[in-house]
Amino acid sequence: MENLNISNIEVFKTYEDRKKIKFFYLVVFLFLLFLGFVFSINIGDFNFLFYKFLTNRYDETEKYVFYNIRFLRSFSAVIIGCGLGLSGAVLQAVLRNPMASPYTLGISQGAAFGASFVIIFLGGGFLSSLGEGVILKGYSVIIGAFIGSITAILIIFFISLLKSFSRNTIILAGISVGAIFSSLTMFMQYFADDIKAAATFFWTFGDISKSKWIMVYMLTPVLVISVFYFVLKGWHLNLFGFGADFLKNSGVNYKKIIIFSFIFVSLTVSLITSFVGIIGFVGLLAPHIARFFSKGDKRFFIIYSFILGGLILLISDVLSRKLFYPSVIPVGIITSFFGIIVLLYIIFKGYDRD
Amino acid sequence: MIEIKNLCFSYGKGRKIFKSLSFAIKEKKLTCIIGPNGCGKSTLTKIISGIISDYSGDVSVKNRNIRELSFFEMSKIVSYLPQKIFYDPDITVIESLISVLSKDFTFEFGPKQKKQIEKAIDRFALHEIKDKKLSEISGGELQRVFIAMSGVRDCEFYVFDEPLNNLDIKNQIDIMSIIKSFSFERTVIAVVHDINMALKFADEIVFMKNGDVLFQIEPLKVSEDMIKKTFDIDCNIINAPKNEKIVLV
Repeated sequence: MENLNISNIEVFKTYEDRKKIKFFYLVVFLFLLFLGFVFSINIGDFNFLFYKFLTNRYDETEKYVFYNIRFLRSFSAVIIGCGLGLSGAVLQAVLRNPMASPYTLGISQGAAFGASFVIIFLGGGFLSSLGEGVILKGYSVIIGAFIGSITAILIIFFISLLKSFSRNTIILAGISVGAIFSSLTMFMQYFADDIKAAATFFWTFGDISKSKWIMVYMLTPVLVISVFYFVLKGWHLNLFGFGADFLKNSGVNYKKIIIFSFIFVSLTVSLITSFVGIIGFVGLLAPHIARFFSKGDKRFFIIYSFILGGLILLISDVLSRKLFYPSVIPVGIITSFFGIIVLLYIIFKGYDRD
Repeated sequence: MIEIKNLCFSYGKGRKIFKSLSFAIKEKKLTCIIGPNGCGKSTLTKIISGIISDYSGDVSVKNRNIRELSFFEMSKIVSYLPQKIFYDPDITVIESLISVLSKDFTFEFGPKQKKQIEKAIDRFALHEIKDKKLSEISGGELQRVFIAMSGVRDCEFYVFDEPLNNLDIKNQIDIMSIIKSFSFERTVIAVVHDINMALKFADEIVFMKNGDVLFQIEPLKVSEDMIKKTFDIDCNIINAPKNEKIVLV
């Protein structure tokens, strides 16, 4: 304790230097996202030229295609990825559990149940054949999926509330709720006729091409507000890592943060899953890469997870269109494949936090 | 002063911890609480710090009933260090300190927090390790960081639940010296297991057993009989130089 002579100017030097590096990463990630976006928009049979578009040399039909097919698809991939990445990051930070993600919490399975219920019992969504795949139209399925996922998250929320949000309870509750919804879905599929069963099956494949403008309009404001909220709560999210007892005496309104997290995650994941189906593992993958760059700083962990989620889904979507060209495979298959690799990495790295 | 009156508490429908506990803790003193496992030491610190609230009876801090204090007011009065503390392996020492002091809805800390952190780094001798991750430092250093995270908060009461756990003798003395230095201006309550540490540093020792305070006494007046009654063990107390006492078991 006789260190008073050491100059205090240097106390924050390393911290400030590291912060600069983290801002540099941020710029790199944003640049990659921008590059990916431009690249993604240009994929397709019709070769769009950006400069031509900007200088207004395309006619109305071409512009319509650009906006409603190319732009919608790429932009949806970005915001859906951002939303899933942020949801995963928020859940992992608040629950102090690196296994937490929208997929492992059973929310997606709830949505699948809701959609299947509407398709099988209410005859919602009519089938139309398009190329090699089957797609569903009609908003009734989307509403069903939305109700299903909200129901799932409410069940998890109340179980957690009874157990005062212990970190393992929520994951176990999520896995159980997911399993119940999955078995109910399979039960319905077993008794449904072939076409309806096939329809519910196809619905569960996450596919960006099912995205609609209305989802973009609803999801974007939720994401913008949430990303600011959680980045500015970054320091307080750090305190979640020190355990419940420390948190409760720290003066942080942790209940408010938990409730806001649940509202954000349920809104975001329900919106996404009800429109495009289940896209697993982006919410697990993005935070794990983000943690590698942000280290212990939750401000950057949140913003990195947000951007990297968008980047991962954008790349996965490009792969899903390019890998078996001219066939397009659902992006959920791609993300699950990479997600499993990351999951194995977590297991081998031995994530043992207690 | 912390005053506890008719405190009753049990975990769920299970074991009753406190039947009717009443005692008071003096201000600007280091009070060490000792007693066998499961006698309610940790529970008591949790109640004083506002972590547990479903008790009956009254606990008042500076003549204010803590039931009437919000969690935010409570955090400004009592700083609590739990027995079991988790940590993110990647967070650095300095980031941990900033997190504790950070205000709501801020991206960066202000000049006031900056000064507090600089002072804490000096006071707790964290210069060498301030930019290391918590997973990279030794157990003794880690405990010093946790004490610093409590101490960096400007509170009138500091409550430490077993701050000497898993530390070697040198680190135990270091940590106890730091804790002792708190008590010159503030009130400190520490749960310790080593009677000799309590005898060496405490201004007052509280002997607890089965949810009750058996003795509350200055270290110099501790007798073999008191230790026998609390822990059911035989021991000898010998007088050491500098007016200190040592317990031999």
